[in-house]
Amino acid sequence: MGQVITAQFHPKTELEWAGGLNDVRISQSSDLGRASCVPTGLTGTTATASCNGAIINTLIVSHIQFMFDNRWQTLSGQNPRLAFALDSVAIPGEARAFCSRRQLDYDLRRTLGLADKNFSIIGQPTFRIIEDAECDENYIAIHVNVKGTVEEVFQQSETFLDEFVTSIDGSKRRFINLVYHAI
Amino acid sequence: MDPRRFLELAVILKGGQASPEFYRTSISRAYYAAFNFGVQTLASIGVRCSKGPGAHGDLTKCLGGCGVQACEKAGARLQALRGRRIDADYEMEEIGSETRKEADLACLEANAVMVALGKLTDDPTMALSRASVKRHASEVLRLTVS
Repeated sequence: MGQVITAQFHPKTELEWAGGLNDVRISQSSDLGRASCVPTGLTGTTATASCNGAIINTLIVSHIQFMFDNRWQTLSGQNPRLAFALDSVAIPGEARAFCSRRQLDYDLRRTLGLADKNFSIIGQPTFRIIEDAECDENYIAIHVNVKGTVEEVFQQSETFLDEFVTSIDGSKRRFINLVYHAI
Repeated sequence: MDPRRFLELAVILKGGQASPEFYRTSISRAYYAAFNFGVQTLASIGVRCSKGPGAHGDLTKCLGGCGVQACEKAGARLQALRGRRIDADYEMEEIGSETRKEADLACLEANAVMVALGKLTDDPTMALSRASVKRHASEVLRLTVS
């Protein structure tokens, strides 16, 4: 039996969680099978998720897995990539507030997940809210340091941008700007 | 002036004196090469961006929401380059802009944006893409389109 997690399902909640996670499957004693459950949050061992058609508020699951990097991976503090995606990115309050106002929480997490997947990131991303007078708009700038030569990092940006423009809606993308730095 | 000459200058600057002002200015020129090339590209297909600073937003919004993946990618890359340029021009405390690698990346980004947008005007198979860009500019952004 794997890690015990309390999961709360809110059937009609919009999907909130991404962080590079494309899907989730949940095993538990009753048969939810592999319904389209998507985690919407995680605090300690409590996962919040939306689950199509599930009229269940709380249940105990034996373990929870996420599709990440095209394979199922068990949620675990021992998994550094998941740890990056789920827990270790400290998003400052100002950035969180900005994303909340613009309803960008999902898109920010998704962007961070894509960045983690495509770039060889060193250290933690940093966040700044940019008030762009020329564009008369504010946006969140995410800065990541990337290990590699300029050519390697640029190539990584190609695959990142391919996924970024197909994964994040244009109306949200304009408020998220990932700037990568070759280290 | 052909805005690609700004990129030529950016390349010269980053290969010149290894100092913050050269690298920062190289990054800035690289952005303006891509930005002005983008504005000219849109003009060439009949989309007129605002005069003055508003053109920065017009360009990124026009590319970013047009539904043509290559243009959206160019728009996202231009946005990243713009972020790099804002740091280079205004954030004197941010010394991350003061490296050869940053200037190299800026020049690569500018070139990639211009190559992608060049296809929009030059490639006869991009007629549908041009139409998508014009439609987005006209119907969503309310820019002047001829």
